[in-house]
Amino acid sequence: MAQGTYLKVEDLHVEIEGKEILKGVSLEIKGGEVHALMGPNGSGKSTLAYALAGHPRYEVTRGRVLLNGEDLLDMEVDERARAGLFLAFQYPAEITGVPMANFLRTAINARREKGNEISLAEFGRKLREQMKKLQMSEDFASRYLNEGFSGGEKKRSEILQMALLEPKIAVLDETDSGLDIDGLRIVSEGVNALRGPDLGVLCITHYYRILQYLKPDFVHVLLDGRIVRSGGKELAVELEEKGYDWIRQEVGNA
Amino acid sequence: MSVTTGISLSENGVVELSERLGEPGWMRERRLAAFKAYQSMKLPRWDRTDLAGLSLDPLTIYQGSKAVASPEELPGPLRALVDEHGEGSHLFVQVDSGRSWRRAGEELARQGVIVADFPTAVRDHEDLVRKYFGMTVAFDEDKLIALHYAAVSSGFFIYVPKNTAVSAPIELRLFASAEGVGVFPHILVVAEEGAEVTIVEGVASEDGEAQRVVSEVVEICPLPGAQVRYGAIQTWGRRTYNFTTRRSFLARDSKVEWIPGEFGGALSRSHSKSILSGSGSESYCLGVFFGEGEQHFDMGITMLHEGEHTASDMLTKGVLKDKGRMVYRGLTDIEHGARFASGFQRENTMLLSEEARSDAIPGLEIDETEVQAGHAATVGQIDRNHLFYLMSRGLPRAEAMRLIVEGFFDPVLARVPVEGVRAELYALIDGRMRS
Repeated sequence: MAQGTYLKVEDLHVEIEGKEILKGVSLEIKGGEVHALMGPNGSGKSTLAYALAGHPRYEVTRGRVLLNGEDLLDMEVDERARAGLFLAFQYPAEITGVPMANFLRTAINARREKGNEISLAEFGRKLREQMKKLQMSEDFASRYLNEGFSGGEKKRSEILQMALLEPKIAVLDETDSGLDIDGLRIVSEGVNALRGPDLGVLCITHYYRILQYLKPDFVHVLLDGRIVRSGGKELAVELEEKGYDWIRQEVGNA
Repeated sequence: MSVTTGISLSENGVVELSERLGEPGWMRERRLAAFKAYQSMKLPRWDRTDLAGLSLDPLTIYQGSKAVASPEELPGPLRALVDEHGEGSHLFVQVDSGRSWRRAGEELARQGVIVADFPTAVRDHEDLVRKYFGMTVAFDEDKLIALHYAAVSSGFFIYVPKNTAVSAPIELRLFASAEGVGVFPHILVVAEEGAEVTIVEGVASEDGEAQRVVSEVVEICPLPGAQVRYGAIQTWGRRTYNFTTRRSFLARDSKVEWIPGEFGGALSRSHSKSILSGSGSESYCLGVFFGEGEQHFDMGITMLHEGEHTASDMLTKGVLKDKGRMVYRGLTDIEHGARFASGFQRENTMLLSEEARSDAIPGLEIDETEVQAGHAATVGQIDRNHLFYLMSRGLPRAEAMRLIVEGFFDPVLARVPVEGVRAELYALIDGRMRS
């Protein structure tokens, strides 16, 4: 039987400009699982996302991250992506002059060997199929990468990329922010459609709303750079009802 | 086997050149006047562009070369071009100072359009040439222009009759292969009333160890209502010092579009200037450059508004890597009396290395109240967030940079109205990003 995806984050400490944000985060995500990471602003949620992706401003001072047994922290940004990591940005970059279709095909081919590039026909078919599922009109393909996209359109563009690049671990950084109820539903459906034994999802969010659609298997609460509580879906419900102050008190009392 | 001897720059040399080319007396006199001016002047002093490396003494200004009889005799890169060109396109290839090899669609002859090697035109179309030659760019404007007028021995004369629209671009390819020999092409374009023509000029050379000096002058003379598009793609060899002056006086309701692309040479100074003297005249410039190694580009574009209801716009974008250097001088000059003028310019440089440097000197001089004008110039590095975003999708760094650079050039390339030019510019940029 094929080995499923496995991400192991061990005691991760991350600094930005000399200030420690993550103070020993540990996490295990297996293929087929959806983990939610919740926390108040400033807790370090995005820091975890960027540190996993390898953003140069975030310095890992301690800890290990293994993706399917490979040392992720030892890899360059692009190597991590080709190893199967995908980050859906909270604020995706707008890159003028680069048509979406052009960029997507280049990204797909980055994972394929020379001589085995995806054919234009197959690419076109896959692109149209995924855009249809995400209710994106076809003219988006010729628009410049995220340029002039509304917040909702940008988020859908991130999920479109995820669908085409078939990652092993997808980190969704506050994908719900700026989405209305319809956008939320479409994006969640997009992610759910990709769920399977080869994909592990880390959904980083401040709010509970998206979790109603994504239905996580595990919920972790990040507070001041540490995961202070883990549980099932019910934890998210409790958090929604009682707020982050409740967790702070709980942790304080422990 | 005859030995073609080179001619050195000197008064005797200039006279000898005139004899070899079989020119009429007035042309010889012009050369001598220009040579005199050359001797009396000092090298121009351009802020931020240092001519210390330029060697004008001794200088071989001419070396006879035989005409190219068939495409097989053309240098490699040009042969490929010939193959790519289909029926109906107009291709003229000049190697060194030899007679050009040509493949012109029958449209040109039928329409009475003249495309002649410049030295040939001086003899065969004497009246026309004499009327317009040197009227737009004077022989004594600076030492290097004077050198051009003393030593001119190649280039083309293009004449488009009244109300004639040439549908396919006229492509002029100049290639210098003789080592160390100077190149002095004159391009004289006369577009009669209502004429329309697109000209694409490509200049290149094969440089050995010796320095090569190029002094080129392009004069475009549009009569009322004429429209001329002039693309100039420069890929001179790495030992070339290039000085190109392009200019046009625009008559009423005429239009001139410049599309300069700077890629070659050790040092290349190119200046394109449109004087919008006729009312309703318009001029546009789409500039592209890509410097690497220790190249130095000095690119000037001037739009001088004199008539009423004139319009100009400049958009220039370029990339520098290694120790490449660019000095950009954009001037929108709106004179008193040029009412209802509209003049805009934008220039963006992207630096791909720590040592690359760009000095953008945009200028607006406005002496009239009822005008619209604006300018913007930026110099910057690749946006690191953009690079991170693309790499996070699996693109290796070099590929991500290439995509960003192509996107950077897109606003200019998308506006280039000549498909062939756009493709060639794109290929040059792509080639540089992969090297």
